[in-house]
Amino acid sequence: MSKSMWLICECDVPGQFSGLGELVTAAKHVMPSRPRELTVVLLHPHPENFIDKLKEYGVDRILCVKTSAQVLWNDGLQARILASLIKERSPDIVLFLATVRGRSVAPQAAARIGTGLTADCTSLELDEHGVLVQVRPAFGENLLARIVCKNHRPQMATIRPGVYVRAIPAPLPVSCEVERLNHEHECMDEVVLIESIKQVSRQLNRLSDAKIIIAGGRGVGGKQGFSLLGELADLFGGAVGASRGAVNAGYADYGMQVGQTGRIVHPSVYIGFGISGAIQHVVGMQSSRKIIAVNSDPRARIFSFADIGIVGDWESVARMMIQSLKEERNQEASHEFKKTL
Amino acid sequence: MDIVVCVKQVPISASEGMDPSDHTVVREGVPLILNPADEQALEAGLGLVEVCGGFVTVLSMGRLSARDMLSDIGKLGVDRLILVNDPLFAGSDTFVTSRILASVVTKHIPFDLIICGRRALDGETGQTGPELATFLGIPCITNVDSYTKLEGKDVIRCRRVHEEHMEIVDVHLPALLTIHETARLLRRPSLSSLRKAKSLSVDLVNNTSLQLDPSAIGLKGSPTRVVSVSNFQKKTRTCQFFEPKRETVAKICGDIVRCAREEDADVQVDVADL
Repeated sequence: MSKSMWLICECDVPGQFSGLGELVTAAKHVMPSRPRELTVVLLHPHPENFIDKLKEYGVDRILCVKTSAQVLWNDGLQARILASLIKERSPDIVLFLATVRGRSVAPQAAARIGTGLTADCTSLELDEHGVLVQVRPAFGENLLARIVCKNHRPQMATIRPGVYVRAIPAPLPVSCEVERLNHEHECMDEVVLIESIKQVSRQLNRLSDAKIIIAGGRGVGGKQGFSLLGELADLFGGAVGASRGAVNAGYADYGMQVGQTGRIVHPSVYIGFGISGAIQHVVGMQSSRKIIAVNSDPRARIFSFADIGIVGDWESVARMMIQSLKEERNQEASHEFKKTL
Repeated sequence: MDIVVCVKQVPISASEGMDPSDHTVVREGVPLILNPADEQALEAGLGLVEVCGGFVTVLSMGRLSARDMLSDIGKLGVDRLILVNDPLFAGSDTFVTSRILASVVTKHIPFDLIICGRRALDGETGQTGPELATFLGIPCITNVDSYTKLEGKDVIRCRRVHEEHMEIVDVHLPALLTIHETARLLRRPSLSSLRKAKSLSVDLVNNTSLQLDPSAIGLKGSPTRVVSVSNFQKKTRTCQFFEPKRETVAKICGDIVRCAREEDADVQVDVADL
């Protein structure tokens, strides 16, 4: 059994490997002293375009697999090629990022290989026998389960995006072994891509990166209310989220939903307007650094999860915040202006 | 078009916990419901058959109490209900569960399309669907929020939701889809579907008919094992209340901006440390 760890590179956003940066950080946490060889695997119709970029991540080996273009949308094909490589080379650990595609390719590969897979891990460690302990929240983030795959190899896991900080690529390519393989002849035409539509929702994108999230509940009362929250979020440089109640009522897009059936977020500051604090929402935001709740009902559940509570009409509080941020901005601007005089 | 919809019974609250002896999900004495995403999967099956004709079989693996849930689903106008239940199956992880389901489908249910919810509320792995497709040797499209059968072709056109984009893909049957919670909502029973349900019963399938090697199923046969479970270390917070006054709100705004800025300082890991 070779002792190597494979990081599977997501390949559908050309030239961007921010997900790989997270996997590299996860690998570093698991094995600070590198007892295992670290290999990045890229399946792509033009993998050679990315070799220099991948070298910046400072891994030991890059496995560049040239494939047919179908691999970009046919998860089954990707899984089949990966499974055959994994069976042939026997890595000890294989990590994927738990994106929509990663969570589809990984189980299909694991089933082909005949090994276990742990979904959506938030932390990884090695025990004293070198077995990978895979930690993940279960039951709506209320429990943390530690999972091992003792007798099957490789040990496979998908890693929740946004948990590990992205490793910053080195300014220059770091030398490492590069191996080129060809699987171009492998095709499966039972899945055909008709169209790829960019940008489901800009908010969805911004939610996972935002330092400040302004979230609205059903109490916000409608789309107009959400555009006011949008104005506030813009002033803060943050993003807008929504409770399931608000999404179901049609006030906000599903892409903005924070909670168990939406997005799990952990911004520096979360501000909830007109949100009652249903457990399904709370599990999606409870790990925010600071939580501020605005609700007219002093007994609202959200206050027991908040650091700061304002009992009052959400709209007038939101307007006060907008006013105060604008004044702050004007003051700064006039200060800057005076300096130029 | 014959469709199999896979459904799961899950604890109603996400906080019910696990059995300390073997770290499997506690299901005794906990209110159980149909997994939310499976509602949209059921609607997909019923809707497609309504347009194209064919049979809908609803398949679930779980405790005997899931019979009631299946009987309720029966009222929506499905054609067959199957519950896979055997003490030998208890404690199966996603790999083994999908292997058992694949064996049931192969032995007992002719199909063109299999539909699952995109993930279950309790385990939240979303792996059983893709693994089941692999064991059956069919393509799998996950996270589908809309779907239609192309006329005169054995093809389903799907819209698949990714993080930052959507894909429209055509998949050839037989295939498996996993359905997103934002897909069409589940219908209610109608008079005719209720009438149809009267002749419907839940078929039980156990390992006597599947003949799977007992050492390869259940907790024993599962590659992954939960070794320990702990309560999530949640930050306990004490809420400090403020009046909605202009000066107070302005001060809180200043704090918010500062709090977001301060954290900027320590978020980068350098590759050079590796």
